[in-house]
Amino acid sequence: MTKKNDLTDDQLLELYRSMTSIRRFEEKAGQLYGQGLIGGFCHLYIGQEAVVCGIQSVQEPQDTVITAYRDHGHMLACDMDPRGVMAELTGRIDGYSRGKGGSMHMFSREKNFFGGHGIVGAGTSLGTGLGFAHKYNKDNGVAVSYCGDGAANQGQVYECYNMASLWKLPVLYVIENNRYAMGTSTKRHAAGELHKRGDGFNIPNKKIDGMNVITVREAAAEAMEHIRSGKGPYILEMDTYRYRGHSMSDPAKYRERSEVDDTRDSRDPIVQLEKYIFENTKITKETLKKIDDEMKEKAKDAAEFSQTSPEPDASELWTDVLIPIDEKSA
Amino acid sequence: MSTAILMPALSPTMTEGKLAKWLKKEGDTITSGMVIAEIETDKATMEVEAVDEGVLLKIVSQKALKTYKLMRLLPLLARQEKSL
Repeated sequence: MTKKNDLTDDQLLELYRSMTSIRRFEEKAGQLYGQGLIGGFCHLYIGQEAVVCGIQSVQEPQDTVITAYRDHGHMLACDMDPRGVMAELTGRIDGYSRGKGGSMHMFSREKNFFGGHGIVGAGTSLGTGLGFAHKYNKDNGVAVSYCGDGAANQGQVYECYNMASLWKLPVLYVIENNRYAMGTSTKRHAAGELHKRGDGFNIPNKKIDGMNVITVREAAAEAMEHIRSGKGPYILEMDTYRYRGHSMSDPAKYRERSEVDDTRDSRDPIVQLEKYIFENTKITKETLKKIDDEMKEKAKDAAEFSQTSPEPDASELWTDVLIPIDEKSA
Repeated sequence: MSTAILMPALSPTMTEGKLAKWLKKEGDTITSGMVIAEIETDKATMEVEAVDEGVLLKIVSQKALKTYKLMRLLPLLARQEKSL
C-alpha cells in the first residue's frame, strides 16, 4: 500500500473500525463456540474483512446486500447490532431470527441485509432478484450479491449472469475467492479464472487484491459507478483468504499451517491498513489501539448479552412458519 | 488478569476431547490465532488457537492423551495472562 489516494483520516479510521469490529466479534464467536454456547454451524470471516468493509464503504443507503453462510462480517458491516447477531448465534430470543435461525440465517429489512443463506449459490439468484426489484422500483439502488469460489461453479450463477446482463440489472456480483471451497482448492475445483466467466455474458469483471481494503474500495467505487449509471451488472473477484477452517469442526488438513501463517504475516488486511495509516497520515498508534479496545469491549458486551437473553419459548416453534396475508394489500 | 484455557468444543457433536499435545510451554508469549495445542475430537485431530494475547503462565495438566470433558465442566489446563 504505497499509493496515495484521497481518503480522509475519518474514512481511514472508519475502515479500520469496521474491520476490527468484525475481527474481534468473530474471535469472540469462536470462543463462545469453544465453550459450547453456540450450537450447529458457525463459519468465521476472520481474514476476509477487507472485502466486505471496502465494498460497504462505497454503498448508498438504499443498496441491498445478500450473501451465503459466512455472513457475520456482512451483517456487522451493514451496521446490524452485534448483540442481536451474537444472541442469534447462541440461539436466544433477542437474536435477529428470534433464536431460530442461527449463524447462517439472519436478516434485517431495516439495514437492507437479505441474509444469510445456507444453500450454496442460491444467494446469487436471490441477489439477482433484488437487483430486478431495484430496477423495477426505480430507486437507484444496487444489489450487492456475494458468493464464494465454490458457489461460483453452480449452474444457477450463470443463468443469473445471463439475465442480469440482458436486462441490465443493477447487481454487483462479488466472488469471495478465499482459495478453498470447503476443503477443495480453487486449482482443483475451478477451470480458468472465475471473474473471466463474466466475459461470455458481456459483464465487465476484475480480479482484485481482496486483502487490501483500499484497493477493494477503489474497485468497488468504479464498479458501483458503472452499475448505477444503468450499464448493468459487474463482477469483482476478490483474492482473499480465511485463517480459520471452513467451519469450526474443520481440521484444515488440506493446507499447510505455514500457508496460513505466511498470509497472516504478509497480507493481513488490518495490519496492512495500519501500516498504510502510519505511512500516510498523522494518526497515532494510540488512536488505533483505542479503537481496537473499543471493538473488543463491544464484542465482549455482545457475548455477555447473548448469554443473558433467554432461550425462545417452545411456543415459538409455531410462529414465523406461515405469513399472515394482509387482505388489503393482497 | 489471568484467563483459563479449557477444553474447547471443536465440533457440533463433541462431548469430550483428548489432549494430544501442548505446542507451547510455560512462559511463552502467545498472540491471537497462534496454535497452542492439539486436541483429538470425535472427528479429527484439531489445532487449538489462542483467542487472546498474553503469556502462558502455567500448564496445569501436562498429561498427554488424557481425555477431558468439555470446558464448562472441566479442569483448568493453563493460564494465560494479558500482557497489555
